[in-house]
Amino acid sequence: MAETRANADGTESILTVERGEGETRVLRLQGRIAFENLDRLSRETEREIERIDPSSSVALDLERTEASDSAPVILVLRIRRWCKAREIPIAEERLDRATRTLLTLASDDPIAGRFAPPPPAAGSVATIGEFVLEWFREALNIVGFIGRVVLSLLWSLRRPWSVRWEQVFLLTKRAGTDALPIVVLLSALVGLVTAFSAAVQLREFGANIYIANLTGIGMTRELGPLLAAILVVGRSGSAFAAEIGTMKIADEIDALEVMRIPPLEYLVMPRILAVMLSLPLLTLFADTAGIAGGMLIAITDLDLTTGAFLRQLDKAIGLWDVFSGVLKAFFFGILIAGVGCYHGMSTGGGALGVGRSTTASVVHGIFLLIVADSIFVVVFHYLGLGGMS
Amino acid sequence: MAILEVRDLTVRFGETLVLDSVSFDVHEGEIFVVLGPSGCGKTTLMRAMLGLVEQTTGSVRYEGVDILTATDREKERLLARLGVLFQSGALLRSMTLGENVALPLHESTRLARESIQDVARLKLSMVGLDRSFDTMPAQLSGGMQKRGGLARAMALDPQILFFDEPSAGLDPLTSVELDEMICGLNRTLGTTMIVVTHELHSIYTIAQRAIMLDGGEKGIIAEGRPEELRDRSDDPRVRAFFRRERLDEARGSAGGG
Repeated sequence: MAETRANADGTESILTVERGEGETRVLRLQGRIAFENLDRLSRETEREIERIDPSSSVALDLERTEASDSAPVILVLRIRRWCKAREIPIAEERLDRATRTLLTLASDDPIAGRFAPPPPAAGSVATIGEFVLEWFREALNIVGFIGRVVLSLLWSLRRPWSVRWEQVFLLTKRAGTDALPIVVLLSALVGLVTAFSAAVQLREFGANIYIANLTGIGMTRELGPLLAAILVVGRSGSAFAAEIGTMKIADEIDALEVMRIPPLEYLVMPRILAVMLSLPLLTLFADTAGIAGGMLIAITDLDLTTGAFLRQLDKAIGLWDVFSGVLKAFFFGILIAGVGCYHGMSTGGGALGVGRSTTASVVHGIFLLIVADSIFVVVFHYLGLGGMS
Repeated sequence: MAILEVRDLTVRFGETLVLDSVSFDVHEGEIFVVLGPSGCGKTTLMRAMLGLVEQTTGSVRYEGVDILTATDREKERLLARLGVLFQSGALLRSMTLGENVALPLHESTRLARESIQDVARLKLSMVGLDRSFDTMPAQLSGGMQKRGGLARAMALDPQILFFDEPSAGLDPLTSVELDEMICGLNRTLGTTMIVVTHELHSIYTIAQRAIMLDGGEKGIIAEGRPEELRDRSDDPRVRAFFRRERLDEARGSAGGG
């Protein structure tokens, strides 16, 4: 029985199975075997082998094939597997020279790996547990890292000349000054939008004047510090992770270490200091811009005068409201820079690792920011510092 | 028969002339070595032969097709017949070793997924890495990464294999193994090999024919079998290179003898 097929390029490949001596079946392939027809020939050959009686043996003949790639080798390896699966002994293999030499270069059964059972997958409960544990471990690591940095920061306050101040100023410009336009613009918009949404309700009750309380307290206590911090996570936290991560995978961190320059003090501390100093200032700008946005709505939409708004604002917010926001921003700064640097320092695995660290620095940064903010709200409340004045 | 003809190949980087009118032939089935001291333009020559360098004039003809003037389609078909092992292996770090070797098969053939897997496993087993199919490149040693790069270069059974400094960064044992692999593949498969190197040991082991480049000349200063170059060359630069002498010593001994 013979199957002759014309290939796309006009050549032919022929598959035949003949009765040989005794119980031997001769499986013969002739003509062109290449990547183009490997899949088709494989299917046909497998079908032929399935038809062979398991009590007989097989003689393989590929001597008259033409090959330009390793397709015949793959075919031979597969035929061996199929025969083995059906317990048909291969009595003889007649192969052309190239296929024979390629087979000697390869190991016994190189394609075995494809048939190996995949490693048992963990159950879904175990997977979830693993994930949560990993998450807590990471959170613990981050907190530990930030703790270490803060300790060495306090330590270096006793020797202020050891801090790389010029680096701190440069980074303060990048993390603070350069972020100013976007922080001001966004805070103004958010102030505008909150005031605008509230205006409808306030007008209903004739409580127009309280727009000043709303924007004033809202911006200074919550929105100002949070908005500035979220922008700094995106601008600086991610940049720190990418910068330090790239240095890490290029062995630069190790190089610093062996030069007896502690990377924590050389790279991490200036960054923490820079963000710690610039974020409170950014927060003040955010507060101002947000309140200005609210005032615009108060004047245009609620028929208040500038004077009335400012007088009410003065009554509504005290020094503590502004200061509590700035205080939060100070801690947010340590957190953001710490998370960014932590992910940079724990980068591994090439370009992909740098990408992963950068993403993680933003996700963890924003998450921890909100968690820290909630803690602040609760603590202020129970200290009697959270109520309205 | 010449499988590759290079004629008047001139390369500039901006204003700087790197290679000046280089011409040579590579014959089918031979191991052809480009040698010379660091900075003489060996790697640039290889990159230019692959059409990777912008400011290149002259011609690089593979069985008549000039890679420098070929259309995108022609160039694609041509590159499918070439395999390149870059200096560091150049495995893509974001994929496993197996996926790296499978990549050219995915892009250039219409093989079924299982067949691609099988071919990739076959190639990895030929370089002794069948157990590392699912390993990320970062977890492999430098020598293993290079062998992985070789498996990827061989994925499509190329007619010509290029090697850029195959022994760079490898320990002597691994580098000898790689040299043996190059010779073995050349013997059994008849693949034409073009090897760029400055390792004397490799040069003696693998080279069937060699050209030597020189940075000052910006071109070929010697051509022939490595033993001939070592024993018969009058050029002090060639003698210095092969005898590991300083150039002034080589000049002195040439003048004296």
